[in-house]
Amino acid sequence: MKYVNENSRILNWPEMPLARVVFLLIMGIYSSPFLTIPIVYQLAVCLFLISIIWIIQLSKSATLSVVKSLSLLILFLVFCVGFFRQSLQKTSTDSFHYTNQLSHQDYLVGQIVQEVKKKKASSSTLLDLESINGVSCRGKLLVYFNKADSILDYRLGDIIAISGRPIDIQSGKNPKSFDYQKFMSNKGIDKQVFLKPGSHSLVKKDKLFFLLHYAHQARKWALSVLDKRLPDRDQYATASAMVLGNRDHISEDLQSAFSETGAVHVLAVSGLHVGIVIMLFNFLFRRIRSESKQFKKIIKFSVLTLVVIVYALITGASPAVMRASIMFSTLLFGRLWFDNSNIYNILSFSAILILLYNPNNLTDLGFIFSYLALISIVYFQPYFMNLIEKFYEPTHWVSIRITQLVSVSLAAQVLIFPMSIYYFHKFPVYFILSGVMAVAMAPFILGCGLLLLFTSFIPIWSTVNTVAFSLLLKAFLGIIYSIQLLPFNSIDNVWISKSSMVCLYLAILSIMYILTNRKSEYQRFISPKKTGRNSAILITFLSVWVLMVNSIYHTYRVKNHKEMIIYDHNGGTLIDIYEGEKLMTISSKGVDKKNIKYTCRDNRIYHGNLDPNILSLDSNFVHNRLAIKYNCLMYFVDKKILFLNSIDLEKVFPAQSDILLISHSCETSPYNILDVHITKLVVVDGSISYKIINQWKKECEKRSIPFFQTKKNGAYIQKGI
Amino acid sequence: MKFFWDNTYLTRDERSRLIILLSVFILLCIIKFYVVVFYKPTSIPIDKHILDSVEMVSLQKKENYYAKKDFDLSKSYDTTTKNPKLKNKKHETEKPKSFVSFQFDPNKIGKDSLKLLGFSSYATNSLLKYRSKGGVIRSIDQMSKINGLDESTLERLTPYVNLPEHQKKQYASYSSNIQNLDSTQFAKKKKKYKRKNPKVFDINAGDTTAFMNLHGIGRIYSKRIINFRKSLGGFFTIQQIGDVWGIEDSLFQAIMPYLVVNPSLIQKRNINHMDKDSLNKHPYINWQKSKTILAYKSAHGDYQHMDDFYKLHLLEDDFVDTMKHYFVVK
Repeated sequence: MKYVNENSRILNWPEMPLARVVFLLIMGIYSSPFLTIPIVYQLAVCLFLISIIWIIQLSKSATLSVVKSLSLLILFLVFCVGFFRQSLQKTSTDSFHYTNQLSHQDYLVGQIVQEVKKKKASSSTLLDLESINGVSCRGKLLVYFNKADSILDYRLGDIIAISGRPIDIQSGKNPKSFDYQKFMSNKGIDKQVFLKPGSHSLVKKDKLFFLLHYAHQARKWALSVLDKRLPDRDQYATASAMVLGNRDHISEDLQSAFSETGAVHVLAVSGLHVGIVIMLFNFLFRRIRSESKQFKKIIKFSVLTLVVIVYALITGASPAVMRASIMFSTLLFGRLWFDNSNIYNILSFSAILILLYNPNNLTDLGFIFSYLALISIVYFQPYFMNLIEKFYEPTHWVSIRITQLVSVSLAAQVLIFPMSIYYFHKFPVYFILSGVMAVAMAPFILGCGLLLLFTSFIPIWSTVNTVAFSLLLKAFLGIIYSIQLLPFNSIDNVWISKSSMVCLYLAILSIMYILTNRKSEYQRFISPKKTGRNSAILITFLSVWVLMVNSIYHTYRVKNHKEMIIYDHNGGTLIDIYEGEKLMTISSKGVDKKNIKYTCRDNRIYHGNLDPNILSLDSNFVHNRLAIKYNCLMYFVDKKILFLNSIDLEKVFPAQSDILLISHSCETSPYNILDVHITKLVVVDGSISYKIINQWKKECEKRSIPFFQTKKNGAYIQKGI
Repeated sequence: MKFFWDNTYLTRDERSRLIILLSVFILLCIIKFYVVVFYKPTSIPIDKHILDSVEMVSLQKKENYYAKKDFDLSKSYDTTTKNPKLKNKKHETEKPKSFVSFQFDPNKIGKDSLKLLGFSSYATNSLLKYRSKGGVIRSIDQMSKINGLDESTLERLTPYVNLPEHQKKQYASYSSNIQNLDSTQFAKKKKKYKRKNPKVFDINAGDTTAFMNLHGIGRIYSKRIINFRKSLGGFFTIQQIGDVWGIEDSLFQAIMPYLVVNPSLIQKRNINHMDKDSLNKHPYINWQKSKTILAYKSAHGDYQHMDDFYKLHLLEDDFVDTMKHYFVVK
């Protein structure tokens, strides 16, 4: 056995006391939203606990029971701190936050902290607010300028004044869809405002905090250099994403190629990139010889941390990069100063720092994925290396490197894949191939790119460098595209529930526990107890069993149900009718393939059917199993559904219906229709403006007809069976 | 139980380090807590110039709104609004209730005096705008057309409107001039009109000139008729001329005596060779009908006889009768 598996025993607590602390901290943060306790009480509890702990600690009465209870108390305090920290994060407790001072129409002043993004419909930016109606405040606000304001020359750091009415960020309330509101609130952005043309003005030109300002300038300069040197757009997009963390130029084809091959993580600047940068600079230190070891250590640490900070600033100081740099700085620190330090301990410490700084990171996918990947690599890589060496013993240094990379990409997938399936519903089949290529080439691309940036002023050298860089990128993209062309490159549209994901994790962990804790004959002879192993086997079987039951139940439910869903889709009507895996879609004019994606894609994956039989809202279908429609009337199981749009009103319409669906370009007033028509429920979908919705709502309230509004209540679901 | 105590036990070093870490953190939290709970927001002076430029748009709209709806709706508008600027505006529009009345010339009066008279700001603006574009008010009727001026104010002010005499006279002479001009031009136009001499002709053979000879049918109608004939293949009765878009019954009755039809000139097409697109081009066949026709064909093979059409339940018998004129089975 060449590679000693030093970190194999996962429950070896004494080596990593901080892992427990992280666990309890996370528990505290998670449980905070479920309980509302006044923040003053929380603080009082924390203070009380810490004072007791200090008293016991200083009293030196160290009997075993006292020490035990003291450590319990400390761990409980950790939990309370997590709880307290998360409740401090809530905006509702913060009287200083602008969301607590809003009125009908507000006058807001704030600094632009994100460059103005110009799009077809409207331009948007992010404001860090300074005052509201002449009172100082804090918080971030998403601002949309009207498209009538064609000239917007606001720069990053400018302070502007706006007047408008901040509203909640809307998120589609469709089944299984992505919750945009939650996503933004985790980023610290709670509200958005749509400005009327002209209701904004410059207060004064200003600059951001000086470090951020220079970072921004440096980034702009670096982007312009790359733009000039790389005429090929794909190459430029890849280079700017991998070296500088700018993903604005990545086309959809490129994105899909990377995500289908499973190499998408190299495009987002994260732990991998920071690690590579540290590795590159670490390489330089090998040559330096110094008599004093301590001196060398200090120099190494300070230079490398400086490099990390500079790199983080150049890449735009996004939260992901800041996290990665905190993580790697602590790793560096630990590895350099404490020779026998445990890597999990250091990782835990960095996680504690990050979580205490901003507990919302816990819901950030980037955070979860980077930590999972790192833990998984550190834990499983030696195991996979051993496994490979049983079949093939590499001798040449190239083959050794390749086997190492293969084992790394295998190990990374172990803890990543359940979560990536849960969130992205796909699994790249050739992840080993793409992972090895990406990780092998990323250092060269990064190094070459950074070298190009720093030596771009040397005339001949820089052209040579550019040629080499573009060749590298070309080769890399070629490899990625060719992997994408391989048959069965990805397993798409897999649906697993949250409980199945947990079961998968349990199964993986317990299987790995069993495999890594195999005792030799001698050990078994000394300690014949096998309790840990037995319970692990039990857990494996149980979780696999639950997983199977879960999947069977899911398929049973999907196959044996019939339902109609009226989605909340902006600017159009979209109705899905399911019977088992059969799917029929009724859509109106404003619906096209692109904007459907966020509305119904995940729900369709859940039902296992992504290519529906699409029918127009105006068409008739009489010979259809799922539903029958003639003119404006549709029959679904035993329900009569009446579609109201302007075209249909010319035709005769029936006197009774179960559901009245008001959609798309319905301009007739509710009075005319509700007088002659009897219905049990009125549904208004997302294609209708608020003005008309309110008219209908009033009328329905008058006549006491139940009213359903998809913009507010989410998609309307009519169960068939 | 042993498992629990084993895993919750912390060594001496761990305890002391954790306690220090936690106390530092709680200290930091207290600072944050102080900021969150006790920190009182301070007021920041607002630059009035910027406030004006920013709120101009929204306030202007509000003003118009009040002028139109005459304060009734403003009560339902949320009175808890904290914006001081908005509140002031509202009071301004509500205050002046006792108005002054004096003689005035609407073509010369200024903005301030209009306000005194009880004009709303919206009405004032519209009057000034009208004047600035060269408009002149010559009668009291014209006053009623000012946007935003309500009837009660107008009634109150009518005795005070002072229109100069000479302007009235000018207006009168101008209008009489226009009337004279109209009558002479009309006469000239009438002289140009030529009488047509319509002749009887076959509508399946006649070209556009033949149709244009008829009374009431010009270039456009004749073209339309010819196009309709082309897409049909020919007419089998005269009544079909009435089907042409835009030709009304009165016109059709007038031209009917001059029309004859020869059905043998109709170009008949083979129904078995028609596809979806060519069927849809026929004016009498819509999308649904073409679908049923083709569906029958795909189910039963080619049509053997024209009477096969009667088997199609979705097609009315009248329709099939007309179809017989245009299609054959070969």
